[in-house]
Amino acid sequence: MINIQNVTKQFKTGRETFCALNDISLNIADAEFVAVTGRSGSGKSTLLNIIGTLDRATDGKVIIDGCDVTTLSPRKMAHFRNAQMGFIFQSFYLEPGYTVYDNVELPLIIGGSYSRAHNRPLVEEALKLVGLSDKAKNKANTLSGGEQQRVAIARAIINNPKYLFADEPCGNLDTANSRNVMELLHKLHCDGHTIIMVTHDEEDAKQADRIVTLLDGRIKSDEKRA
Amino acid sequence: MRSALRFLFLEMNFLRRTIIIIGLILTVFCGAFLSVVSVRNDLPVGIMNMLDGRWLDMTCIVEDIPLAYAKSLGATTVFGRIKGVTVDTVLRTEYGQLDTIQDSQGIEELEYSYKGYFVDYQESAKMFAAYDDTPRKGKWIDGPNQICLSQTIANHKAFTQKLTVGDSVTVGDREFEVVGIFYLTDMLDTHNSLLNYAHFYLSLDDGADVTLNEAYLTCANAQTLLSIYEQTSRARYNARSAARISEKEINRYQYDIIDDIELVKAFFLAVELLLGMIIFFILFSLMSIFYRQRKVNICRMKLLGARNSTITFIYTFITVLMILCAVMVGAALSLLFNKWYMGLCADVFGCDFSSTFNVIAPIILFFALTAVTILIFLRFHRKIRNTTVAREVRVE
Repeated sequence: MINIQNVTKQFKTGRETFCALNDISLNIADAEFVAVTGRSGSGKSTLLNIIGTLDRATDGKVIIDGCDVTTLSPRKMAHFRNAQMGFIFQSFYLEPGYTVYDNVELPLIIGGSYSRAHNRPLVEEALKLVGLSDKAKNKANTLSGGEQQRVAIARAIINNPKYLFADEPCGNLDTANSRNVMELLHKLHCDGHTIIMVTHDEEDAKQADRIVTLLDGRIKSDEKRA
Repeated sequence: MRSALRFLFLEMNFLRRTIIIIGLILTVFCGAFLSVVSVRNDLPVGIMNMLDGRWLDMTCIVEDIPLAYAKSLGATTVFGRIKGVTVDTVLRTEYGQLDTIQDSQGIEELEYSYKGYFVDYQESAKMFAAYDDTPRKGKWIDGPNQICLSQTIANHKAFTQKLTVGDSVTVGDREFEVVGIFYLTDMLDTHNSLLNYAHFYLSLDDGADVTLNEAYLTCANAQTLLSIYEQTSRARYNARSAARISEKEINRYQYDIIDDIELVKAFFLAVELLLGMIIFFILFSLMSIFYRQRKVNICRMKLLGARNSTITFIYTFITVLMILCAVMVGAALSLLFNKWYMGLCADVFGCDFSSTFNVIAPIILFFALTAVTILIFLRFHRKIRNTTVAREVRVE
């Protein structure tokens, strides 16, 4: 469970201070699929980054499974991120020079699992789930956009994290690939992962259980879908 | 640790092209640097032997020895005799310029200039076909207090008694061991009325027939032996000429050769460094892209939960490995370069040069570059620690 308490994030640009998030409080239950929407500059990605420990809040707390992640040391935060979180971004963030297999295996290696015998079945299973078993030896930068995003999804779930964070996962994809990606996310949600997705697309947002709309750094609305 | 090594292996594979380019630049610089500081080029073999203590000074008193051969041994003062003419000469060892020939019987002054110390000796040695022109280490001279004497000096001029090999003889206030005495065995007329040197085949008193090439003539103390000549009414030498060239001057002349060699080497080094700098500045213009790419790479790693220390370890390890390879290859290149260059100098100067490689220099270079790298990455580690993934993600 994710408990966001009075989170504020301010950015200093020269002499001015810009407030991206203003006293946000939010609770996200386990296995919930939450879509965060809003106009550009409303603070969606900032909120996602703070929950995902990629950024630190100026004020407030983020408690994940009873642990206040804002007080964790960088080392523990890195370990927590590797073990409990998976990230999917609009720009995929794959290592272009690595193969698909290496990209998917990377979180396992970083987490301390270096044995090929141990990692291979996990990687193959993840690639099978996203439908890219035959592309394991291809370099990541030779794949199409949709395929790269699916590799990113496979990489995000390789450690079987509890939480998945998706920042505009379909932003660079066409309709068909977007549909494929959203189906995958839906399947992962059904498997028990907690998914927090930032999106501009209303159709994509409708796939979620709950839609949180931000406006100017505050929660405008919080709707649970039937 | 093992996971870091696996990660390292992946990253090295990914950065292969970058590593090769930077490694090449480092190798060029290492090779250029080491070729100057780590390889010591030594003087021609003959001269080095003369300077290593076996020759305490450059004066050699001989008699009836071909002038050019005495010069090849590094003699600066030769007391010799031309048939019918007494020759007092002072040779400059730098380029073998013969100063003057003072002729007591009115023969006109002759000057010989040699283009190179040994090269033109080869030319002049054609007149002295009995000798090859490579001074070699003496078999019998291995100490400063040993002398080889020609027959006449041994038995007539310097000493009253007939000397044999193994005898001890006091010259001035010093005691020497006679290790060789040359006896005239044959003579060959050069048909040269002015330079009517005789070709001598000499033998040592042990009965072996040898040529003068096979031994160095050495004088432990030239002044002492010169004084012997002074004492004899048959000696005539120019004290001013002898004093004109001091040992210090001779050493300086010798090292002038090495200075010239090092000057050319410095030219090669300058060209090499210039090429390296051009390549470096081309890459420097791309540094902003490399820097940005590196930040994105770090953010990707942090995104997946990589620790700051792991990221720093990976970059530091890759850099140190590159430095090690560059220093080793640079050292090998510097050796090859010097070998070729010394061969070229040998052709030009007509004598052998030797090179010694100082292994300390590449070791110091490796540790110096590694220390600089570690200092840079300690600062880099701070940037890694402070790199906020979210900010980079947003900019990306």
